[in-house]
Amino acid sequence: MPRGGARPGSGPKPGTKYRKRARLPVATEEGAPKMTQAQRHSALKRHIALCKSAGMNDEAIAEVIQIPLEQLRAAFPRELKFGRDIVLAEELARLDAASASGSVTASKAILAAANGENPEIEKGGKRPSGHQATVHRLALQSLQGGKT
Amino acid sequence: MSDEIPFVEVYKGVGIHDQQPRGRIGNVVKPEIDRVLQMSHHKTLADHAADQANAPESRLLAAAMVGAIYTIAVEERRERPPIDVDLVKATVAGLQTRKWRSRNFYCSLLDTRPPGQCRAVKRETPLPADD
Repeated sequence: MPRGGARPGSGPKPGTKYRKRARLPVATEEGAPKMTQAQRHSALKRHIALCKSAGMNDEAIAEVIQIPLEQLRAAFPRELKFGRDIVLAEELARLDAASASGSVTASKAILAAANGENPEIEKGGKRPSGHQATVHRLALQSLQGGKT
Repeated sequence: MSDEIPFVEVYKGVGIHDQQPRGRIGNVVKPEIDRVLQMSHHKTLADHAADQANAPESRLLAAAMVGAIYTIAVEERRERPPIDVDLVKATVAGLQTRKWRSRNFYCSLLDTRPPGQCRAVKRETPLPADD
């Protein structure tokens, strides 16, 4: 082995300007910003409100987010009581933003919600009163027309 | 004279057939109409329309509502309910006409009756032969 001098294969590799420090792979997605505690809490509240609006009971929600039922009820009483209304209000706000940027579909959805016809946001598979009224109207029309 | 059964009154837009006592109209027919108006599922409505034990007026309303549900699904480009609308209409065939009205039961002569399983309600007074 020659004395002194650089050893073969040592030094920066071809194509690299500087030595790059080895980095361990991170657990989060590459490029995704880490959430603050407040953001995580807000996301959790939104998640609970969504589950409640979908008709899940408190026990199921506690199981899904893996906290005790008593802790869920103590920490998120507003979401458990008004979850459906919270989701509805947030979705209306999103629709409003889309409507303001020119979406006709969003405008129609807002008008339909204002008239009580909101087939997308109903719990338990219950049809909205607007739809039922339309069914009645068409049925009575066909009865009176003798088309049955 | 028209072959359609005449109405003695109209209850919530549904014509009430003649030749039945007032008591039956108030205690049976109108409550059934109210019940049908509360229904929203196509299967429940179709079953009600097919059941001979129900009043003809409510059966006709139920069949009309099934047709309306299907029509609305078509117009709004939604998934159509998995039900045969023609079959539902066939189950209430003849309920609105004098020609096919049963003289002895509150149903149509076209209602199929397996032996020993007639579910239709018997008329208090049979209809006259020339009606």
